[in-house]
Amino acid sequence: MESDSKVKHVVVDSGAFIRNADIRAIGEKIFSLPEVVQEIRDQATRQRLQVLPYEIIFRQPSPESVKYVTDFAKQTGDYRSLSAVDLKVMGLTYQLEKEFCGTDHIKAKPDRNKAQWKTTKSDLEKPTEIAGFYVGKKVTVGTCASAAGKATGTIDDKCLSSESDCATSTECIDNISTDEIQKDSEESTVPMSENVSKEIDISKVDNSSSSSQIVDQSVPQSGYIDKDGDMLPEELICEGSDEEGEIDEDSGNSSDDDEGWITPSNIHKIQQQSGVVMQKASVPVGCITTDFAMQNVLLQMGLNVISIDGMLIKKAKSYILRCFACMKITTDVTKVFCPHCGNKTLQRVSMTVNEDGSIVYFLSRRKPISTKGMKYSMPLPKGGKHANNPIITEDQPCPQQRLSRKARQKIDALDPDYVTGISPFSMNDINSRAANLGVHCNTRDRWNKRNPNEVKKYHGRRK
Amino acid sequence: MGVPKLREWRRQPQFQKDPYFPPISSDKLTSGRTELRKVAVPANRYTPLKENWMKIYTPVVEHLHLQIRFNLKSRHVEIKTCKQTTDIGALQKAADFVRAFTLGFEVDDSLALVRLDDLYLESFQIQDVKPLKGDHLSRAIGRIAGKNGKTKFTIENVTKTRIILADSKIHILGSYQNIQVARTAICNLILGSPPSKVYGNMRAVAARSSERF
Repeated sequence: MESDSKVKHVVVDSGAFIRNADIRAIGEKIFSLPEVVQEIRDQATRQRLQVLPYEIIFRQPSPESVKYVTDFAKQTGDYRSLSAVDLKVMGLTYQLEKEFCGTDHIKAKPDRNKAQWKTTKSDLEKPTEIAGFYVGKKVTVGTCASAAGKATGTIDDKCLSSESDCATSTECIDNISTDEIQKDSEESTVPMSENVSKEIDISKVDNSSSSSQIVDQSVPQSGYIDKDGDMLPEELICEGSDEEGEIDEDSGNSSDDDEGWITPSNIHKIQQQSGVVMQKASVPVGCITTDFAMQNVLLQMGLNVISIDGMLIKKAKSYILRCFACMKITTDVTKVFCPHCGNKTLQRVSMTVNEDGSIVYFLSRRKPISTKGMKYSMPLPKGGKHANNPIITEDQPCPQQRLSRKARQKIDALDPDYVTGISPFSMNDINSRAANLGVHCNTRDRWNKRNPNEVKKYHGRRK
Repeated sequence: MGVPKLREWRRQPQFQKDPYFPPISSDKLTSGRTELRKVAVPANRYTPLKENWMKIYTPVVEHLHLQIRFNLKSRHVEIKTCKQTTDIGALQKAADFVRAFTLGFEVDDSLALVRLDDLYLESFQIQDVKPLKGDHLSRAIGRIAGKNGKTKFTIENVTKTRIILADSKIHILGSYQNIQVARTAICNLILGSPPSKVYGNMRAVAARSSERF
């Protein structure tokens, strides 16, 4: 790897050692703290640290820089979830940044006024927003025309019209679509709906015969493309236009169109879109950390954060919890009960910290407040350590019920050493105490899963 | 003629001129045409598919160099070859992988199908073994699963297979011989053998087969 794509001075947190990041490929000079190494308890990681192929420069940050970072963390509200070592690691990053780049671009205060609240009315988990999920063209004619409602029916009918045509018309559509993509992206959605409604009328009059007419009009088609372009990433559409020659070849197979494929050429874009926005890091000073609170503080300060695969994190997307009873925010996402009012009224809110340190919260209006468990009276509490009682308050004593180490082991089938293994599958844990108690990975909230007052199924003559 | 002598004989000049045929690329074998496979996703596996979608498409695209998408209308996962596809068997492997997932296997377990060539899927029903009904059927299912799935997990561990018990349907994923051992154990449980006896038999068979290799 060439040195210009590396980070000149990289500060490494314990998370990077534990996750076995290829630090030598990421940075040139590797800094850390003795406390970070002491923090690691994991046997495998400790062994790995004994024989490192690179040198770690241990350095203590100056008290001023630690104080600066601490003050900043207090202002962002992340101070509570940061340890002393975390603060020192951030202090060292700040100090190195000061030495090599100066302090002009580092913020002294978080931009609180920049915090935005956005409400979304659209369904957050729309299946069409998942990359590679595409709305196919319906094959059956009768059911589509009758069952399709006004809103969703627009797409169906258009799909239908293009599908019912022969191969020549599908080619025609493809030509139109590629031409129209540019125009459509600029057009607003309001005139689009008019086109759509026009198109419905035509298709309702006579479905089979007017299909060629619709294709010739080419205006309603634009609505379809625009709708799709909204949902799918832009790259996918570009991909389609690139491979147009290929469509023409196998146009005999009408179901084989070119939308929505995840291909070896666009998979990297899709993966980047699904996660945080990334760029190969080549900055003077950066910090490798997996801790979100640290990432948040560093990003808001204007320092560089690097992920464990060596990418520059520009935007930390995460979730916070918001209590819908007292409207207060909790950054610790492991909480179930609101730390401010104590109720089980926390809702997950997605939030992004942008490169310039501004925060955007996204409230979902679609998700109604769950009234689960409100209808029936609570079951009588039972004694014993492993009783399956509902958890009503935060400090209720309950067993830890962790999975055993064996149950947590996984085999990676794409690992180079995989074929030499004894079994193609990981072993099930059947003998440990956890397994005997029936602790599986999906039994965390067992009480809430089923209605306790449900009428039991009649089991015949069983006594 | 012994083997060393045969080799000598093959090194003679007339054999040196033998034409060399490199393995044909899949692109040429299919004469540039793309092949498409569709795997139906039942309603009960739709949400798991959505949750595990990234884990599914990553190996199919990166490891097997295929194109993949999910058709929301027909609820099919569609897999297609493309120019980058090098292996002719990649499409079949990917289709098997997705099919195993739709049957209920976890992604990590199904991935073994992509990696190993000698893994197979076998499906049968309890009624194929014995026409059980009502409580008898429920008890047979219970015998196979065991308390907290203990019996099923034990069979999986000993026979190095993965078993899905979906009501009265049973799917086994493993190598040919291991499937046989697991199937015998399950059939005995269906017919009414106590689990302890089945464990003993199964262990004996598994030990014998592991000795052989």
